Amino acid sequence: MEPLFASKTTNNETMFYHQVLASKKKEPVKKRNMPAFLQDIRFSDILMGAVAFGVFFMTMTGMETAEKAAQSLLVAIVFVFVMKQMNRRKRQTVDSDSTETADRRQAQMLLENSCREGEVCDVRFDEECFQVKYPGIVTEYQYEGVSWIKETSEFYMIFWNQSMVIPVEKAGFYRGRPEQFHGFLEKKCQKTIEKVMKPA
Amino acid sequence: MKLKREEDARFIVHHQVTEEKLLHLEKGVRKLGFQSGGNRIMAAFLGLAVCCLVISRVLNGFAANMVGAIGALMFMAFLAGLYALWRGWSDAKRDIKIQFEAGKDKFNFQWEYRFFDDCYEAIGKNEKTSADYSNIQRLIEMSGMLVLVEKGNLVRYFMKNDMEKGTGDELAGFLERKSGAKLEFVSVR
Repeated sequence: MEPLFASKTTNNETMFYHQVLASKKKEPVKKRNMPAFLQDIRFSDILMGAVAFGVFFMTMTGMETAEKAAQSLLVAIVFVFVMKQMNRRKRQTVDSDSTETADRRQAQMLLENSCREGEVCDVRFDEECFQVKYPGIVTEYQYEGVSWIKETSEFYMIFWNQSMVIPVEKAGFYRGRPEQFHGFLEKKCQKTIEKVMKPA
Repeated sequence: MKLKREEDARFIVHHQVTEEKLLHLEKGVRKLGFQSGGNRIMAAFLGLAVCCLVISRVLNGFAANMVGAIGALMFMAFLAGLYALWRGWSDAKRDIKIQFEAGKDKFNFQWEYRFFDDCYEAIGKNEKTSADYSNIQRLIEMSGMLVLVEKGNLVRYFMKNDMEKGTGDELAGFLERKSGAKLEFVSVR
């Protein structure tokens, strides 16, 4: 049976870049009631700082106790500061405040890990379900199982779950009219397609 | 898409996703990552720390303090490594719990895998897949769990005691032959 809509998408860096853009989640920033300099310090970091103090205090020999304590305290403070900086960097990455270069690097990594560079993904949409075909593997999905859908300038990204994304290239349609696809997909999945703007 | 007849399958697996299985998989993946270099780095830090601390006991004065301080730094680097491992694991455990609870009703947590002579099928809620064995990139056994890493970085996993037809060991050998991938072993406690 002929599908209502069908599109072919090539697995390349552009496709994965759009997937990275579509996967970004903007969540409200949680405000915490504590001074800014304490926000990235965890209790376990302070415990490790205390261990660092102990290790250095026990190791130093031939010094006055006060001198040993001062030097060990300095090391412990440096340790906690390093952990704080690491936590801050991690938080900034999670906040998705990344640059286009970082997104492209992530897209390149996803492409390499997928082992599907250059392979064509054929997605066919019928009344009841849609089918995704890669060389050597075919998967049939029911529309009701779709979690959410995003639209970038060149692709529709159908999110089956957090980690499984089905790309549909707008320029790859060989069956059905692309301008009708948006409405068709929204109706079948009972979801509103969210537009993703390319970062300036 | 027409599925094959269930009775023609050589092996059948009924897999239910549970928090315990997800944690088991996470432990195995972390261990795989650690084995690919992390363990050598940690051993190097510990070895250097011990050497420096022993030498510092032999020396006297400023030299002893210097070597002792370097040894202490190395030991701290080792402890920081242990701490990072522990923190990564506790974060992952928390995330798995949250994701499992959130996806329990929404996502597909019941699977049936059927392995035939020429292909295998994965059947879940709202989706079914038929794939060639060439699609399997890696085969890993994690203490009772079989993990299939497919192209596209898709991971399928199940416990050996989830088998309905055939045994886990037979299936592992069968998959090795069919996919050409060598079975890797990771021990998970």
